[in-house]
Amino acid sequence: MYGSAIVGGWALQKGFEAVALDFDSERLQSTMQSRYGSAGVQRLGQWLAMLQAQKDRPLQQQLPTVNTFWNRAVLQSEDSTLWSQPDYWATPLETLGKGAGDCEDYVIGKYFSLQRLGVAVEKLRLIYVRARLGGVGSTQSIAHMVLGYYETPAAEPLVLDSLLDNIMPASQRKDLTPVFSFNAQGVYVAGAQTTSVDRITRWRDLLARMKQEGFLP
Amino acid sequence: MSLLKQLLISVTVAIVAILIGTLAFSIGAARQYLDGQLQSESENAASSLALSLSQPANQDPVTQELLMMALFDGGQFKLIRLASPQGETLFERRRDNGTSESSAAAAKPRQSAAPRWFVEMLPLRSPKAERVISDGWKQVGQLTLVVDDSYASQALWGSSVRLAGVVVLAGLAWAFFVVLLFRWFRKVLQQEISAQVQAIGRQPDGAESAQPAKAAVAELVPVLSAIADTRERVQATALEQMARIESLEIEVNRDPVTQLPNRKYFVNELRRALSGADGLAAHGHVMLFRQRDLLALNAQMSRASADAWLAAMGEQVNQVLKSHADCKAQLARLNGSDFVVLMPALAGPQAMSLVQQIRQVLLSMRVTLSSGQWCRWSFALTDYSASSSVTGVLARLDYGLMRAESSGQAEVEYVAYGDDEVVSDLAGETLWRQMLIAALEAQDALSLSVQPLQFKGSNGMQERGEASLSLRTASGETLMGSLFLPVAVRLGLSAEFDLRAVALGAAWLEQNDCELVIRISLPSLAQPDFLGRLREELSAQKWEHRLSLLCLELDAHGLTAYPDEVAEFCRAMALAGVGVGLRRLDQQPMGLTKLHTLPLRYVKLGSEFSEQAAQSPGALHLLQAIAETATALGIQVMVSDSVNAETAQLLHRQNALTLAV
Repeated sequence: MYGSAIVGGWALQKGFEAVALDFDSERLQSTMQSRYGSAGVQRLGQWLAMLQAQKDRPLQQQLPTVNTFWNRAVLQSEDSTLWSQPDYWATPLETLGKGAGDCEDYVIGKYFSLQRLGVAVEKLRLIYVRARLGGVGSTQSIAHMVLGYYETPAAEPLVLDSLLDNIMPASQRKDLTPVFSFNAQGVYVAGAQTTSVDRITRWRDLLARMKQEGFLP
Repeated sequence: MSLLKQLLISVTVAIVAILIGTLAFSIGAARQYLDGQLQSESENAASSLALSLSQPANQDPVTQELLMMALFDGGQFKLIRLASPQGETLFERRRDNGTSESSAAAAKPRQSAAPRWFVEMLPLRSPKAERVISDGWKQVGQLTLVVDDSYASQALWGSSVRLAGVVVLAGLAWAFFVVLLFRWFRKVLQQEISAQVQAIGRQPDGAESAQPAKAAVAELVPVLSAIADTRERVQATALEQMARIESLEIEVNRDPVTQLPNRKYFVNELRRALSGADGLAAHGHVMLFRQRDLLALNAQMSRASADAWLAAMGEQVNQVLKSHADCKAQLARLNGSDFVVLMPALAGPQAMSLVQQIRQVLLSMRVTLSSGQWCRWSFALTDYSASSSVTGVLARLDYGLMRAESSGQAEVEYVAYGDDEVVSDLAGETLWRQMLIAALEAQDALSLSVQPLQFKGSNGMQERGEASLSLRTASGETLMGSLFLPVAVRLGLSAEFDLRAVALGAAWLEQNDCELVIRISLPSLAQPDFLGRLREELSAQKWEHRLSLLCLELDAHGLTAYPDEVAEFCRAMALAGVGVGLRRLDQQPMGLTKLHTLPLRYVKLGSEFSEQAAQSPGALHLLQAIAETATALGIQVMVSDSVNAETAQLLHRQNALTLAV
């Protein structure tokens, strides 16, 4: 509840400098139909409906709705089984089509959903974290990725995690140890002036595939 | 190949080589730089990652995996691999260009990427960096890192394309410049050099001859001045040559003695006149006159004074010609004794007054030979039409001259062009016809001039008159029969004139008691009513008693040309009591065989033949044969020209009469 209060406070500033994601929904649907059939189309419809419903809603409603939508719509899986690759960044359409994905696919889905709803991309960061499994004192941990919402660059982020529907400030997630983060404005090596996200090969691949599917990022 | 072309081609080759070299070196340098950068990037990234992974806080495998994933996802690497000291791979992320689903998608944004051939041609070293990571004192693994070089390739490709573009642009600019240079150079050469060189051949005219135009190109200044010098020299030489050619032409075309045009010049002029090149109808007359006694003159005077006399004669004739400037007549000396006057553009009778004036001048300038005789001129005249040939005209003149010389008279022998000419001088003939008919119709236009001649024979002197018809024109000039009768023959009017001559002769005999010779044209005999009208004329009562003094003379040529007519004529005249004579029998020796068939009163021989007889045994035999045959037939032999004493004696022995001086 504490998180919700904070989100409510931040929501006042929502929309500033926001560049919304655009897409051609008909083309998305036809791509989905041809690749993944009616099940995929149904999940896509749900996503579009959610986005439509959350349009112009306050941020404190949008963040949990988006988080919950993706956590419920997608089953936790591994890239090696889904894509036969050790690591694959799937597009939102691919994730919805498969109905399954790994932690990065959740983060990507949430990132573009929030961008669509008008959240400024510089406030969103993709964070590599070490997640401790089990309770306090457990030594078992996994490599994980979450989406962080930073109201200001220096602020404590809200964590949108695929393992939890609940959105909490980072300080309350003792199980997560952040290792590295980046966003669409791109950071690879701090201080490198021309390094944009476009030059991150993985991100560029993702955007290119999205463009083919009907997104206009 | 032109010098300029060679120069430009060599410069172009050099420029192309420089541009290609620059391109190759630039690309090579860029590639080397990129290789170095990639290598250092690999080394730096490997060092940083190894440093992070070696920290005590990061020894947890999950943290290590996260660090490596974050680096791989956020950076541009082909490969990040962590292997245990035993070589077992603990973590690996590899970017494959051929990954399943991403490949098709990735193809599109990579459109601007370097083409495969370029990458294969200029491969970048995939810089691999290896670092060992440690946990405290212990080595726990080997980190391998390969940086993705596709951006470097793309940058290299991009810069190569731009550089090649600049090179091509520079090449095109150079080519354009070369084309402009070529055009400009051609223009300059055309304007400066060609114009100047062409001016060499032209005649210098005031404005142009001054100085060459200022050269637009500094390099051409010495060339232009050399050309100008050459031009001046060439022009000076050309002027010299022309003066020389002119003097040579004068030498070639002039007779050195009289300064009159020579035979070559005359023949050319005649040919030009015959071709109608002057724009006038090719009709005119040519008069030839020969000094028959040039040898004797040269022997008698000094050669120099003979030459001076000839020059003076030429001068006098030229004076006459100048007074008829409109007819453009020209006097020329054909050879030593022969002179010729070309009278183009004088129609018909107009030429005759000029001919007579020339004859008068020449006769007035005669000198006396040592033998006491006047030196002799013989004259021949012919006319020509457009179809005449030079040889035809000259042959007629020679024929005329021969006739004049054999007749022994200083009359002009007019040999009109005959039927063989295709084109006749219609305008001239019309004028002639009008004049001749007018003369026949008028009462007093025609008159008979009688030249009294003394003939000497073994039996003493004999006197006779030789008549010739003369015609007074409307303008008051008097034309001799020799000048208009040939035309009358051509126009078919000879019979009329012959009849008129006979009538006038008969009238003359009324007052004179002397044998009178009247010449009858041969073509008149061929006219069907001529003989009848002649008989009618002669049968007039009033002349009956004088007819025996009348003698009609025919040319011996008639014996072969008109044998029947001549025979009939002779018989008719014998019946009428009129004598018939033959002249120039020596030219027709075949006529000798017919003498016995004709009642003739006399035959005439030329002096040339008679004089030949004194030297040539053959000619002597012929002369004797003629004389004997004639004497046997009762025909008198006469020589119509003065002969030397030796020949005269010979002839007198043969009962021939010779002309007494």
